[in-house]
Amino acid sequence: MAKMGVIVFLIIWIIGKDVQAAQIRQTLNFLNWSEYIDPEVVRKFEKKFDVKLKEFYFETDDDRDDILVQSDGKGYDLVLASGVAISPYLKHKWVSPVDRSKVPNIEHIDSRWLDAFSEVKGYGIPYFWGTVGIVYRSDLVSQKINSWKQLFHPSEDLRGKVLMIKDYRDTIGAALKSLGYSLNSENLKELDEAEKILLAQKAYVKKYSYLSLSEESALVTGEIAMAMAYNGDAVTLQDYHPQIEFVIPDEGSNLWVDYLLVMESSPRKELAWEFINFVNEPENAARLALYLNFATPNRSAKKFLSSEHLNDPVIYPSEKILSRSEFFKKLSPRVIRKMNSIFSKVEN
Amino acid sequence: MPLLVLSLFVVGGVAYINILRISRDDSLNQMKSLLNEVERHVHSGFQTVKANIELFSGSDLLQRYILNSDQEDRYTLMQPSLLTLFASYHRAYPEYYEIRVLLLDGYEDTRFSLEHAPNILEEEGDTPYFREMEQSKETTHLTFYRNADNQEVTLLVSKKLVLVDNSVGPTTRKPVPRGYLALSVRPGFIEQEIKNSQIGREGFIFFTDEHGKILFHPDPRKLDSVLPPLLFKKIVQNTKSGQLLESEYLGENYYFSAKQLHPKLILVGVLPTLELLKASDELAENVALITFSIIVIAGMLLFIFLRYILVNPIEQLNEAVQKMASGSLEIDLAIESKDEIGMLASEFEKMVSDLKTAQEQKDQAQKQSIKIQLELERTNLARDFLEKEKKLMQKTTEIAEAANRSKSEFLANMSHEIRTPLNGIIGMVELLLDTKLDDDQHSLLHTLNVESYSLINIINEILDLSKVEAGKLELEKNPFNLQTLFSNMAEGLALQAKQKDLLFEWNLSAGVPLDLIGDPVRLRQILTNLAGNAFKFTTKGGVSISAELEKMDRNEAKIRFLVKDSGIGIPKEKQTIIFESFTQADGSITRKYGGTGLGTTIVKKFVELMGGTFGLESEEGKGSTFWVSIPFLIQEEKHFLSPIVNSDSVFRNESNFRILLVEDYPTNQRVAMAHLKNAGYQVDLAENGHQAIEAFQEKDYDLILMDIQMPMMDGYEATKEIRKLEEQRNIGGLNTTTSRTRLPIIAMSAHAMKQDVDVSLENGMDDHISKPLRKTVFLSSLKKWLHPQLEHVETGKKRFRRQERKLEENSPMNLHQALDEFEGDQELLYGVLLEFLENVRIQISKMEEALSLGDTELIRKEAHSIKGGAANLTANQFAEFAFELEENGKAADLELCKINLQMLKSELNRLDNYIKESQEIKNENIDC
Repeated sequence: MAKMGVIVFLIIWIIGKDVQAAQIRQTLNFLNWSEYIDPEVVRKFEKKFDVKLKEFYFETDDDRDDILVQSDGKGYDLVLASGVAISPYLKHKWVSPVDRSKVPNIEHIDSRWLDAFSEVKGYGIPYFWGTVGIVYRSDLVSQKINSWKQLFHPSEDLRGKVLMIKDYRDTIGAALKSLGYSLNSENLKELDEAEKILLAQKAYVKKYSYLSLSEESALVTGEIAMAMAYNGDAVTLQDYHPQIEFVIPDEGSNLWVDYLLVMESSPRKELAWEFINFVNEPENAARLALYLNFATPNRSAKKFLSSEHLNDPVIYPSEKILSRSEFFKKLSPRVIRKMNSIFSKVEN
Repeated sequence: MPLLVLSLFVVGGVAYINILRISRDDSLNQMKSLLNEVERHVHSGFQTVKANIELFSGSDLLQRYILNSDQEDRYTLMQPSLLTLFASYHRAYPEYYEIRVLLLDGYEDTRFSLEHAPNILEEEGDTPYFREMEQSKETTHLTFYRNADNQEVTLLVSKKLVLVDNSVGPTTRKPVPRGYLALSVRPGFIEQEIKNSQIGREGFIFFTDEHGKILFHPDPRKLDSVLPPLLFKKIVQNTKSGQLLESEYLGENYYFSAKQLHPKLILVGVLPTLELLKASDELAENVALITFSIIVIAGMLLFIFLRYILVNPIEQLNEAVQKMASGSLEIDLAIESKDEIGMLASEFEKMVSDLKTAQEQKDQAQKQSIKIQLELERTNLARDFLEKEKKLMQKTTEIAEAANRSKSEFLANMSHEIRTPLNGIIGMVELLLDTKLDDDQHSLLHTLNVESYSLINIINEILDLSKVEAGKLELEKNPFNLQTLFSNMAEGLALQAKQKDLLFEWNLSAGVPLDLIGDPVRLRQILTNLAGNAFKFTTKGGVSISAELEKMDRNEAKIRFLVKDSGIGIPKEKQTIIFESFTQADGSITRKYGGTGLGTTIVKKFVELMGGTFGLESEEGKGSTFWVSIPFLIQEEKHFLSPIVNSDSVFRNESNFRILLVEDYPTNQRVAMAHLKNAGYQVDLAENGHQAIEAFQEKDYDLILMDIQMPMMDGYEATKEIRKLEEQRNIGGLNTTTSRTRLPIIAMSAHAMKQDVDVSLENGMDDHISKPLRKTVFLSSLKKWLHPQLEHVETGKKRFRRQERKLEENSPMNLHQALDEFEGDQELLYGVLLEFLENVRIQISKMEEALSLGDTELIRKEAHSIKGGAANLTANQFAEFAFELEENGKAADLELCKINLQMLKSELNRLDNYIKESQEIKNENIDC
């Protein structure tokens, strides 16, 4: 017994010496999705610049908006936001414009993604792009899935086994697509139809939420048989179960781009730009892509990517699918209001 | 008697009249107090809602929302959160079915509602209720209205939000109205009042609006009907007077009482007059009934009295005589009267008492005989008791034994629990040893390391001992080589000797068979234990271990192992105690030499388990020799897998191969095992580097799949260790079990970049597969290394390189390039190519089947893997065809699939011919 005590004490004493050293370093605050960065890359960055990267998480896009509204855009140095969500932030002057001289690695990025959202050009650096589709368990779902209609009219045995994303544009967008309309439709009648579809689907939906990306994920345990999900997340989930399939439905989907933003209120903008530059080092960008299974906007990273990754049609959809998919456009206030009201009925 | 009856009637009449009056007043008072109570409840309901809306309007989020004059900004950034807030209010108060924010002009800016009825109006500015809200002097306003969306009578509570905008400059410091928060409430509490309110038996309450329209009524058919104006006028007047109103309505007479609860809500209590009349009629009936029953009761009482005086005593006597006739002598006559009957009774009693005495005597005699019976019973009981005691003793001994066993079982079961944290500590210490430490820290840690290892050893010994006692120790029956065992052991023992400046030597006598079957690990424990003890008690000279053949049968050999030392020796008296648990020769030895003496007990137990014998020869001061004699089975044939070196066949039966899978992560284990087992390999699983090394030492494998990231000892470390051990085997010339000199080790890792592959190779791996495992790639990697013609190891990884399309020759593949990729090994290249062709053929027939079933998904999958495989072999044109087919499968285009599958087939034939032809040419060249 005494021996054990001595051992434990010595270990704690030695570790303690290291902890003291850690407290003097600078901290960079990063507001992001959870499980959306490679810890290895973070470690390398922290080591290289002798800083600590502290991550804060939001659970939905609305959640992130709420956090920023409450703090008036203060308290974070870096924020991850999808392209369509950024323009209100610009109105509040929360975002610092991109200084190309501070991010020389910007030259590696394909301009298609830099320019995808015209209202926010020059304010964000693209992080990943991807699509949304249906991920499902081929052993639990009796038919092959290839249409949004099947997600909105599931078979009876899937009651309570469907999961939908907790985002009003994604869900309403998918409903619109299933009816053959554009997901940027401003037509109130079309929106009413989408509302009907979502309300009818409600009884089959267990939750409006996101799948966790681990062995305990509800899709792996079988609690959920079919879900709306982002493409890279689906690839990650496929590692945990041989019968997980992903499809971008025939009607097409949404093409999203996530951006890294440096906040105007940050007292450490230099360091924040360094981080963005660091993750765009082609090798680091490749590491991130392989770890997260998403498509990188960094052209030069491709030479470090395995053929498995580059040839995966889930990560890099075919031209045919891309041609049927749309970026989200900014909508008029009345339409946003209507969508908010629809989604509030659907998720409550 | 007639007097009585008459007076009774008079009393009844007076009561009747009074009661009638009282009951009428009572009902009416009841109505009044009920109305008061209802009024209180309703007002309290109003207060609650008002208090809630006060609370809600204090919300920070709501205030910031309404102060934001930019509509787009509000809707995009803030409205979702506001709706979530309203949703939470609704969950707390489900009767607040609609929660809205209205702007100053009545525009419905935000509306939370789960009702499925569509929202009819958005511009509410012109509605009467909104005008009321606007014009109200109070900020909180309450009113009733009919909701146009669902036609329900709704209680509307609104709060005018008058706020200061602190974000703007001092000019707007004054609070200004910004908008309204409006709650639409289902007035369930009012309907509840109606249900709970009864006036008498037929009375009830209902509510009307200020025009006499019925809003709430127990009878749903009456809703929305309007009271006759004259009646309603009287009712309204009544609300002020507080008196009772008697009036006619629809042909019946009623009593009304009313209260005004709200400008738009009037409470009315109703009681039909007929009910009161009915009540008094009932009363009269009751009085009559009571009077009549009194008469009847009086008559009955008289009758009973008479009976008591006369009839009863005679009956009693009769009963007593009958009783006696039937044999009973317990008779008690309660007759005390002094008349003839009394005399008769007392004579009778005397006779009875005489009879009683006679009876008693008889009873005594009976009692005696019973006593004697009881004595007999008692002796029987004593005997039973003794039996029980014996049984109890038996049980106690059983329990004691079980307790001892369970203690051992407990320890045996706990072994894992105990060892795991200790292993963790050791692992941590070793990790720490790898970090930056100064000299002090290093030496401290080293001590820690040594101490923890010795701790683990002690615990291991204890656990082993308890395992044996619990009967849970199972000996292995593995083939092993005695020489190898000795030489491995010798390293550590030589070190121990050096530390104490002693000599150490070992030898195996000639004639001792070396290839045996037994439990080498335990044998080693026995020997090292004995040797360790020998070192402990020796200060000069040395220790030697030797083995000699004692007896040999057809396939069994009894081998005697001797551990000799020149130490302090053991006195004769103490020699028997040595092998008993936990003691050394005497206490002073423990203090001088340390140790727990466990080791010798373990030796004893193991040897016994093995079916051997042990003994000791010693003289005090002259040293000791411990010997153990153990039987082993001799290996019949050399146990090794001789590869069928058949130069024609490229394939070998997979089930001859044994593969070690080293992987810690359960899912990955399952996936890999599934692939391997399906392919027909024999697979063993190790969960970390330590287990891998153990397994490597115990069994022979053809290939090891090594995961890199593992706790405690990672794949690199384990591989380095295994290569070291391998070298020792090779050098000692003891590697007689296989003809291979190097075991292929393939790294499995999620890191797939060039640097990662290089690191694997540097650490002694032969190849690198990236995770997640793709079945065909994985299995073909394995096949490559298991190929028996493979003699010398490939150290390069076949990396996929995208080729520029060079269509100089119209050949299905570029053999020069392929050869380049395979670093000149023609035999290997052809082997793999032929295998690929065969696989593709199988896949094509699968796809044809799928085509007939319309399963384009399967086609896509197969084509995808064919594409990958072809690309790896630089058969790029072939890969292109496969890619086309894959696309067709993806697009679920059955027609195109059909066409392209045909094309793929023909291309396959071309490829096949091309390869076979070039092979022939090469062979011809060799011959020449």
